[in-house]
Amino acid sequence: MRTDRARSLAIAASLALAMVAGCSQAPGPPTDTRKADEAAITAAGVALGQAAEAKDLDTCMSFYVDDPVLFVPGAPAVTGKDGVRQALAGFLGVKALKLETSGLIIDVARSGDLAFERGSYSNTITDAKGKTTTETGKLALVWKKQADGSWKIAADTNASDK
Amino acid sequence: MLRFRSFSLMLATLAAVFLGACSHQPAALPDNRAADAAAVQKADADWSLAAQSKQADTWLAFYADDAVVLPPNEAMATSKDEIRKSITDLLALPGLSVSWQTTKAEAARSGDLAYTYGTYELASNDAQGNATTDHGKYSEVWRKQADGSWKCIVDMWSSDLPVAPAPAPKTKHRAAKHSHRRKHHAN
Repeated sequence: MRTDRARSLAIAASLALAMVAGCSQAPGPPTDTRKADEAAITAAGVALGQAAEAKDLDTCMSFYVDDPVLFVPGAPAVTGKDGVRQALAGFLGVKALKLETSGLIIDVARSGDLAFERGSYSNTITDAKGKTTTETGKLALVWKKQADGSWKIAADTNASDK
Repeated sequence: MLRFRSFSLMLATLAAVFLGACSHQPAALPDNRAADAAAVQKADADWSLAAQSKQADTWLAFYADDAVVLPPNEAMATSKDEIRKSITDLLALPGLSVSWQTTKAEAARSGDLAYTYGTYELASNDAQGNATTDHGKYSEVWRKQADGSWKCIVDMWSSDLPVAPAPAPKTKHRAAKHSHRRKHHAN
């Protein structure tokens, strides 16, 4: 008798434990990854800037989704990876580039699939003749989290201050 | 014996409660992305229609309290006063006609943020009274408000038209990005 009772007790206890364990593994609300996402986007932005200053077009392009859009002042919208690549190649085709950003603010969606970044930029460009000009403006970026967890730019939109 | 039985019963009940709790655990959020994107696109279209009134208040009602406006040829407007001034100046262009169409609208899975981008057309008269036309592209970020409505938190646009030549063009750098020297607020 005692053994039976002990056994049933053990079964009930294991059942309860299994339920608790099962419960804790049930899909609940998604974890809030926004802080980590913000840090990842900041890092991606820095890496993109460094690649641009190094005139490394391939690395620059690795930060864009497969169907990006690029909005720059004074030219129609650029759509598609080939178009963006061509535009960036032109941008990088100067003697030297110094790219600075400031006041960047990143808003990550609760679900961690979309994020938006905006702020100011200051681009110092040295042309083939060695003449240096600095241009300031505003940027607004749409970032999308990829299947591998990385963040890439879906829309790169800019407006000059002058 | 009774004690053991009731203890077993209690554990079984506990297990049933856990099972119940499990099944009542909030499932993954419903996917409202298409509806959210449609709502944002509609807000954008309503905005373009509302802009026909050329009233600053009507335009400004589409911005959230924490909105920033990133217009071309001027500094970022981050305060309500700066935004009001920027939009009032735009709406005061003589002979103004402005409208825009959404090309794309997309919302986050969590339904709290979304973006749109598209194209605009603008006509106005220049200082000499001559009719001028401009067209360009814009991007907007939207945040869902507590009442479920969508408001714009980032508004940026720029002209498609080539940069107006500087008065004494010593250089003509044509960097793909950010080569911009428009003399007047054409958009």
